[in-house]
Amino acid sequence: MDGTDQHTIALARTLDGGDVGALRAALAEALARGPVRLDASGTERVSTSGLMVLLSAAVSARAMDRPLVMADPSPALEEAIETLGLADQFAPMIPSHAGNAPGQ
Amino acid sequence: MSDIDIFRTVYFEECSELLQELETLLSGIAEGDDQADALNGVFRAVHSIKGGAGAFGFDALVTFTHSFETLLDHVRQGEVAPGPEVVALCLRATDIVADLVMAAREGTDLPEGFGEAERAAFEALSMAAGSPGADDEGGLEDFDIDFTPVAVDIGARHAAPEPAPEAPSGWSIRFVPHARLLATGSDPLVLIRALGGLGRLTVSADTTDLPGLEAFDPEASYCRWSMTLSETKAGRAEIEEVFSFVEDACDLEIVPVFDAIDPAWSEDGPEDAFPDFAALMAEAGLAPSPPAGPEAADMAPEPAPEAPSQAVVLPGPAVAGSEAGPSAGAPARGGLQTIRVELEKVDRVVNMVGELVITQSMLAQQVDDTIRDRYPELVRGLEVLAQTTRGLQDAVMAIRAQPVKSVFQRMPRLVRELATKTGKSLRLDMEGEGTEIDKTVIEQLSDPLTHMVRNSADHGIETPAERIAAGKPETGTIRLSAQQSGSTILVVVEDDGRGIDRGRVLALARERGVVAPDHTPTDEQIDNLIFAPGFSTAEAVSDISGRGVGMDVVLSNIRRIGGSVQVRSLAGRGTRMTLRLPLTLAVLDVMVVSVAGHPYVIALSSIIETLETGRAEFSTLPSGERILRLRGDYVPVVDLSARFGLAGAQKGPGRFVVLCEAEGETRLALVVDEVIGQQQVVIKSLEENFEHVEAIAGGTILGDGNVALILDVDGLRPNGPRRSAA
Repeated sequence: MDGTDQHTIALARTLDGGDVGALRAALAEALARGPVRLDASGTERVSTSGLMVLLSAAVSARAMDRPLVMADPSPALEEAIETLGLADQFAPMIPSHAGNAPGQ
Repeated sequence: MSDIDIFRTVYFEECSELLQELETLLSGIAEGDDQADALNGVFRAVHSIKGGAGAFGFDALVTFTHSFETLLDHVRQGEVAPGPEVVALCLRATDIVADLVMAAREGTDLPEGFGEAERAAFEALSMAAGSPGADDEGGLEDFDIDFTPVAVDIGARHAAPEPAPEAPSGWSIRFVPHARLLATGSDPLVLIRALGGLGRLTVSADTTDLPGLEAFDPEASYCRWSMTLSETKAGRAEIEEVFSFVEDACDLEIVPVFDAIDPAWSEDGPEDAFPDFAALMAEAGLAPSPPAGPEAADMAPEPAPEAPSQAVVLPGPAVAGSEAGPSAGAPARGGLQTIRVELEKVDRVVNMVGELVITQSMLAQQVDDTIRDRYPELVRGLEVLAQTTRGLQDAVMAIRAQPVKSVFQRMPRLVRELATKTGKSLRLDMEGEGTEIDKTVIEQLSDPLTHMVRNSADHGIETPAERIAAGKPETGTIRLSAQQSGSTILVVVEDDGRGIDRGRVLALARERGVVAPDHTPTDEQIDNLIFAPGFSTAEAVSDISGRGVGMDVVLSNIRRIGGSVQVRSLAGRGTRMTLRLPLTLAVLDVMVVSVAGHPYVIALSSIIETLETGRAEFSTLPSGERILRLRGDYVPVVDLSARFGLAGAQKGPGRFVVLCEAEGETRLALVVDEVIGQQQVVIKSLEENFEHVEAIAGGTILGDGNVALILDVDGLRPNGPRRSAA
């Protein structure tokens, strides 16, 4: 692994409770290897801590200067981001939202 | 006790309150109460039970309440009509929820498929509603509330009053979850989503504390929110209710926003646009705000509620009319404030007050004419002390008093079950549930009352066919009522059934030696035979009221708390059983009498009159029994000195007869040497300190320091049904 290959993580159908610890580990491992692309199209249910671990990954990615993008966020994920007022925080990760930070 | 144990204890206490509320609301709906309000209350109660169940992992309870709640939602939306069948289903479901709660509390397992029939019925109805909610499509898998106990006040949309002109145009809300909030399974997402249901919500999140993955803890809280709720009719209470389950696990600030004149509020004209000062103060948090809903009490752990605690109700200020009025589901909100106090602490106060009563009484007895003349100020002080003591005593007793509702509300379920078991059509009417009695009395009331209601359903009420043949309505009615009568509480269980079959009862009583072959009891005495120990008719050992326990248990339980039972029956018309219960067990108004130099006390409530023996007309029956002739009536006589074998009693006409009322409206004339006077005594249990003594109900310490025994008038009866040897 040369550190430049993009690694894709397909997010699970549910992102909450007990899933978050495992996702944290997977994200940390993937970021250690290189850029990460999150496939968020299949996520049907998400909790606040599920969103927080994604943002935490963004913090790590910034610190490591590793690209982290989230592709095709599912409607459920978009709704949760919107509801929690986290659109600004997620905007840099979601190419379709970049530069278009939505308000509420 | 760990935090989680405290949470569990509080949760189960709250569940029992919510279940009672459910029963009341559903019964109200069945009787035509305002459905919208009541349905919202029902929904909230089920939702609260589900929320807590999720937090503690009571899966069966979550599954069932979830289906129940889904159906309720359809009913609330008007998609399923709340007809009698649906209400009956909901009542059965409430019973099942009660059993599931009990199983969760006790850690026991319920039979496989328990409640499945009802759950299937819910689903069938929900499907028939045509639009099963999103929640239902994937069953519980997609049940996004998780284990987050959120109280969403759906009622606000239906039941909230028109906005008062002084209402703010919106609310600014700052919400900072503590780490504990996430650790207990609550999710800010669900809370904020619920908040969004109250109006237009703009949300801004601050995640500056969020660390990178290496330091990330899934259960820690890294985000805080600032929100503005506008275009809302919600008041502070509704907003607080959203957070009621997590109020101890977050910082929450709710500030009204009055920044602009919203056209919606200005319709009433410029004068009305000025907010009421008191309301402003209240909204700004400068006056006591109304307490959060019952859910808040539910999940909020008290410092050390080791034992099941009891709420002590204190009057609290009502906030000026800017909040939504109390809804059916939360009658106490905004009106009363309560604190939970361990019963033991209250009992300590009760005991101290009891001792104070004795001391005050002793002091009062020291006052003679000499002291009265010499120390008028002291005497006045003692009089004030007497009044204050009495007031203090009443106040303390009021703290222990609880409405009988807590016992009564178990009865509808019992009657439903009995109707199913017996195949009879039964209806239960209840009255006077608000009547308050000492908590200890209430605790002792449950078993006897259950037994009496069972007895009515099993033996009293006939089968539908028998009733129709007798020209009666097919449905038998059991009526349960409570009322205060002086210093006693009357609890009446009556039915419109067949009445007591006296011939059969007497025959059985003779057969079992309960009644001597040559004795012909009166109708009243026969009726009371059902309370004789070991006495039961053949049917009485049925699965329902039998179980080897006769009505004598009812009597002994009631007598143990200083009460009495009276039964009246009319053949073919029904049976009425009346329990007379003391308002409190701690103190008793008594008459002190003297027999052979020993003081005895008789409960004032049982005394009809006193007269001198010189004026009394006694006769002796051929059996040797002495009777008193009084205004054409004959009353059995008991000479206490002879009854207790006391030597040194007075002879002759200078003695007194105390005419007492015993069970079953029978009367008894007690002959004593002297009537000393009335006073209030603190009851000390003989059983706890010594052992049970026949005809003695307890002991007490008199004002002069002497110990006196409290007479049990019923136990003194010469031919009482319980004294077969007499």
